[in-house]
Amino acid sequence: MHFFQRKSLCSFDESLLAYELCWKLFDESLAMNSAPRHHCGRFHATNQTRRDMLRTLGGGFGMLAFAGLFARNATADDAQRLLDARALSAGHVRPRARSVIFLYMDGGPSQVDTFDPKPKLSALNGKPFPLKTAPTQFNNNGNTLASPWKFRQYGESGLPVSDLFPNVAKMADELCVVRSMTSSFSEHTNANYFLHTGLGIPGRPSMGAWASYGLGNENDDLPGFVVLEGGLVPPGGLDCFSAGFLPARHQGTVMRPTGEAIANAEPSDPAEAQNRKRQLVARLDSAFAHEAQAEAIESAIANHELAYRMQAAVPELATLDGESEETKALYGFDAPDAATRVYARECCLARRLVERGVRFVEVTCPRTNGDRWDQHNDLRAGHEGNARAVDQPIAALLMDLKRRGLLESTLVVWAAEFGRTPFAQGSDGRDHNPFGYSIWMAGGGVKGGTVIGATDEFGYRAVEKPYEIHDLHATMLHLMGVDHRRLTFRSGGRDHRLTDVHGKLIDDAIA
Amino acid sequence: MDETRPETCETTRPALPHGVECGHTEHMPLRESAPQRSAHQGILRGVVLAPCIVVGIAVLVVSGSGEASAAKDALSSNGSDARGTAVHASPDFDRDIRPVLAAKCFACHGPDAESRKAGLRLDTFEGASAILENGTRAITPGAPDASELMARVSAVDLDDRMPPEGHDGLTASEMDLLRAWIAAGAEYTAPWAFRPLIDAPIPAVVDQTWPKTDIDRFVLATRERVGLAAPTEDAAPGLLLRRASFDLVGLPPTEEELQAFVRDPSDARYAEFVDRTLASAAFGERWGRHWLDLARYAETLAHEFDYEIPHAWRYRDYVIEALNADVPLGRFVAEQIAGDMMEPRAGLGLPNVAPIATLWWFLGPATHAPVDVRVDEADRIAGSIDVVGRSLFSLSIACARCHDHKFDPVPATDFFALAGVARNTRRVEAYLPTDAQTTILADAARRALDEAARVSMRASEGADEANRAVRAPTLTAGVSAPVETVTAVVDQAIGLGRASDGCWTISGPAFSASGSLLALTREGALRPAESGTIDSARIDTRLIGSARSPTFSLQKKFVHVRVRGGGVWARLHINNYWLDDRNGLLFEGMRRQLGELSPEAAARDPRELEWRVETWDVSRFVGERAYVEVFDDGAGWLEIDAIAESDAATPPDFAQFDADGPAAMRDSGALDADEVAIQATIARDARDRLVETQNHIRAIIAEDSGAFDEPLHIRGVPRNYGPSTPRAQLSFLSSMDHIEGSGRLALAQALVDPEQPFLWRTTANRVWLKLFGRGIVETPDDFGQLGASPWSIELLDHLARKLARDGRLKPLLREIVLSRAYRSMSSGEELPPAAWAPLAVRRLDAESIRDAMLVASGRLNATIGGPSVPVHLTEHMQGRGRPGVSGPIDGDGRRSVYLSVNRNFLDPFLQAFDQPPPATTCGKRHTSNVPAQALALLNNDMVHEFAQRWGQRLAADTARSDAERIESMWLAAFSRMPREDELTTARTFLEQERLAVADAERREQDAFAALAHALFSTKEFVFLR
Repeated sequence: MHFFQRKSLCSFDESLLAYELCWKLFDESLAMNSAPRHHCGRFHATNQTRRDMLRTLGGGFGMLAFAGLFARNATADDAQRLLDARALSAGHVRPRARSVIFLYMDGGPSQVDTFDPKPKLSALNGKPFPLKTAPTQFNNNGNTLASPWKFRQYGESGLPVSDLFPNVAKMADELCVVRSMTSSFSEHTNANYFLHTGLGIPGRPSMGAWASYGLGNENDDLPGFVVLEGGLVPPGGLDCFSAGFLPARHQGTVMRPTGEAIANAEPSDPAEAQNRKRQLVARLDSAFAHEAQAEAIESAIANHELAYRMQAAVPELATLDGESEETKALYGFDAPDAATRVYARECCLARRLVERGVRFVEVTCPRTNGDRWDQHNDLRAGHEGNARAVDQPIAALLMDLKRRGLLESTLVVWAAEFGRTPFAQGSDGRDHNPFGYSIWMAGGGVKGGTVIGATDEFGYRAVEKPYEIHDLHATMLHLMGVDHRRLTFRSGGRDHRLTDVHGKLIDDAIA
Repeated sequence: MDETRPETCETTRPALPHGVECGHTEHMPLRESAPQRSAHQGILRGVVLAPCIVVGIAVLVVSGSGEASAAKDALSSNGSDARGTAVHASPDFDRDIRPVLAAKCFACHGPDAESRKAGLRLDTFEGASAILENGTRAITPGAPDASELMARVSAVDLDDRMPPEGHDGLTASEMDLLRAWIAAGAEYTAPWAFRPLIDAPIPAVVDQTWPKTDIDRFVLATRERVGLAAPTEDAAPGLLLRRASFDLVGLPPTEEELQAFVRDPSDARYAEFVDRTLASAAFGERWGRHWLDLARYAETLAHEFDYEIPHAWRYRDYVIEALNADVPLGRFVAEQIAGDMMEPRAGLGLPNVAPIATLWWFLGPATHAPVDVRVDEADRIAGSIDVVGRSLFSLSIACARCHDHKFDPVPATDFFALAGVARNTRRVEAYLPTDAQTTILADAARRALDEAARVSMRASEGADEANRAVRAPTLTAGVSAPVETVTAVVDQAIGLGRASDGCWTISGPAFSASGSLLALTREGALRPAESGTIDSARIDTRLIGSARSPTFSLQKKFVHVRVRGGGVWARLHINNYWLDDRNGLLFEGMRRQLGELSPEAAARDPRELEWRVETWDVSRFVGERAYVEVFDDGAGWLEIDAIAESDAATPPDFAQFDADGPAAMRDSGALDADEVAIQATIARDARDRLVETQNHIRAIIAEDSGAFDEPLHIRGVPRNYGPSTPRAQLSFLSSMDHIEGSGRLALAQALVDPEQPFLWRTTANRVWLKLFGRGIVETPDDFGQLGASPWSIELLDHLARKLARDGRLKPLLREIVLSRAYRSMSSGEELPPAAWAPLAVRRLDAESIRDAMLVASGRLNATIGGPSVPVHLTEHMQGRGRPGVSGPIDGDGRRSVYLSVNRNFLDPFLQAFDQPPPATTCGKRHTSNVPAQALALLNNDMVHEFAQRWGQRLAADTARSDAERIESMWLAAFSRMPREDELTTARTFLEQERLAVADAERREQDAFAALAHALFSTKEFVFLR
């Protein structure tokens, strides 16, 4: 497909240069070369509207959406301009990752059963939990509950991983585990909106939408923010993937690993019939455009053409037949567990998406026999089922990205909205716990084989280097080359940021 | 405002005989009413009735008369757009200086007292010219060289320079402006949006031929000021009709309208068309949707299960009907805020439709089972305040939750003034009576009056009117007089139960209104009412209704309610949380069925049953606010006589309470037996009618629940309380001397005051924006410092004043649409920053695109109102709360405004074309251009469905030739006839399609459907010129 081949014209480094060039243009267009100050917004001396900016930047496509275009046409001349740009403006930061794969662990895996071993829990198993506890979602708090799983150390780093993740453990040296993540909410939806958008209520742009808005997309034929929907939409619904006040193009496009991949992307007419219509439409449109002399119409025509191309691009992307048998087996296409097979396809698709330059891919969990990672009871069976579904595919994804040289430019984030209580809910479950839990990152710009921060000896609260979701967002943007304080969008009298007024980098995670 | 009627708990009804202070403070007798009285009696303990303390006020010095300065501003008005480029002889504070100070100084020296450094504030003249700690003045008016500010911004030494290192300094031109402004006296003027409306004269223009209306002169003046001529061309008749039709009703013009107008494109014909269009019901469907964008209208609550907002569609219908009736803007907006407290306004088949408007407060998302219900309430309220601020004031008041607004004169106290309003307002599922019920009841009332007259005549021969009037109160003290009896019944059915015993509020006929002494025995005999209790069996146990206690502060661990009866639902609401009716997690037991009545108990007279105590464990919620609600759906009945608190789970001793005792039954000795018998008959008749006509509609409305002032939350953190903030008092509205209850009514009155600029300006601008695609202020939801300035304040205020005068939108729309400005040919002219430009080519909005397909295909089902059509679900729409049933793919042919708005399952077609997610006020939609739009037009099943429908219709129309049918398609799709070449192209296309269809049966339909489908994909179909 010619439009995919274009991508290969430039290397990653070239496209990095192009990003920075785009940022420069972006800044110029917004008169944004001032230092960050306050979330309520820097005053813009010019009263430029988005429309003006769009016009300035690219015939209605606008903003940095054409970062990819620049990338494909980067020249030495551009590089020189880039150096000038650097000298002129403090600018953003050097991008380390050009795509993100966000592995959303729906429901909240337990930190003390996955990446944060707490021997003390075993010692006190079944005894009253010794720490003062905060209200929980169900307020049915039981005794201290030891992890049913053993932890072992893996790789050169000796990173401890529980027996829930024997495959991911093989990639231990790629992982940077943050054991001191916190959230502000004990309830799924608030916590999910918070995790996805930086605010605990619906209606804000998702982090993928921010990434797409800020950095554009490198593939004209695919959306910049794709959500691979494996069967479980996060509590909070599709609002978690909303573009919020950003233009609709940045909204997460739901893609399914089976069936029609993207809504309306499969041609509904036979090729010949569609061609006849296409010709008729082109003819009528061209006369109309000639008469109306409006840029908006030209852009819409261009988009119409793009839509035809997408009809080809999406099936090409979604067809996994071309993957080698070895790759399929690696991901677990033929795994005995149905949920594993679904997640295997999702992870493989995620790789194919970033390969094609899609900026942000969120991978949601498949349906297992039990519930999502939300084990209010029967922790053992529930967590085992959920881990079985994702362990092999995630390990395969990391390996596959690595051997294709994509891991260094792809940031992989494994995170949930919160963790779980180290004490029982009832007798054999765990309730929600936002006060200290584990997430991990791997790939682009991340220091692998590291553990950051710590919870208390029971794994209840973050006590060492506590971080919050805003910090994760700031770090993700940073690794993509964006200063989180400078990526803003004005809506209703405020310059909004993904990180609101917060956010500090998780420094130790950055290689 | 005479259409509103402030009402308090203290009414003119007879004083209640007992319920004086009870012995121990745990008791919360129902008999007491006004909060100000009850505060010392323990009902509403714990409420800080502190003197009003206002912190962090940002008062802007408005120099001279507002009009004079605004006019001055207007003369050189090129807004903020030309800042830094134009050279101004004398800098204007608002235009030239404030933006610089706001950007570079206010974060540390602005309205926010908390973050202010060195005690210096530069946003007021007083602050800026005060003597500072080091003895200098930041600004010495008239003397830039004696102004520390100039020295600091231009300092070479980085230690001295302001803004400090790491922040951008002032540019040379900014310093020049600052210097010139100080030299000229450093005059502070209020930001434009805070100034009174100006009354600019109709401007003189050079070109006398172009303008047709005053509006034309205003817009032309802006062009001439920057050296631009009037537009050269008017839009062709067909284009104009298409434009006006979509703009006014969101639908294309009909073939007949087009042909008639093309034949005779006169001004008179056009005006007729506009009038007819404005009068059509489709107008409300179009302009109502604009309001729904502002109101973040949705029918579900998002979050985990996307629970529905029951009866939300009634609000949508209310809006559409109000727009069609052209209810004056002030009234309409006041109804949103306080419709439950205003004089009734009939509509939607109800004698009073106004309360439905108040769902507006509760249209935001909500979550079940919040772990901290106080924080949850605060967040929900913040969402509402954001809507209040953006939609009614075009101000980001919600920014003042955590601190005084950084740039606009909106102190944090303004946020909490509104939060106080919202916290004293609760969400109620109400029973609203219909016209039909009212008619029946009014008949009963009339008969009763006649009967009363007859009785009266007989009982007191020769007594004059005055005597009767005197006699009435005597009667009410005993057994109700007939007149009072029946009007009380009618009142009860119509009224919203604002006033009732001890400030309880009621809805529906079951719970007796306060002071209504009507009571009947089971057999229907008149009996003296027991006053002082809340009772759903006073008239008849079959009646439906609900009652709510005043809000009180939980001081102890248990709440006890003494009741008798059963078979009803009761609920203890904590911090106005209500979602436990969908999901009891965390609030288990707060909502409960109060005992089924045994058949024996049900058979007995309610008054023979024993009192018992219902206890709620509220130990997790001590310190929070609560109220009791009971719901009688007709099956049971309940009477409540006291609420008490205690720290022990066992109910307190109610003995002392009883000592004060229910009123002794009074006898009715004053009346003769005959009279009592007649009255009883009438009352029975009234009761029977009441029972028969209980088909009230249900709606979620707002209701006052208390009269607390909310303390400021320091840094916006709930429970981190600062000083109390007088509710409803906004620093930038005129001060109110009479705030009752929540203060909603006072707030509404202050906002719709014709002298207050906010509502009129913001609405005038919204109207202009919707008609021209570009507002006079380009940021419709933000008139603050970070928003845009008007390119013509004269025009904006000219329109705003019209609205302030009579509040009606239709005449304003008519005037604009008839203007030459609106009728000008669209152009791709580069938008001049401070002048009007003709309409640009615009893409239709989401609803119009779908609706235009409905019209073209003949599928339009023009039904107005009613429950929403369920959203059609695709396999890409998954998640919890997914509706059990997918709606029809064609939406039943209904206009898009009638498709359900499920927050977690929004219609993907409408979303693709930028229907905004219902998160908060959206005054200006994006018009994005994404492949998803083209893909939807190419492949969406719904689009195919409409094309097929159209094809079917055309195929059946065999009387017409291909050419004629193609002409009709062009008229339907593009509002014009095809050109010759287009006709040829289309015919060729049809022929090709016919060849491609093998099935002869389907050949014609499929061929025309293919053409229809292609037309839907053309740009001309979705763009307006």
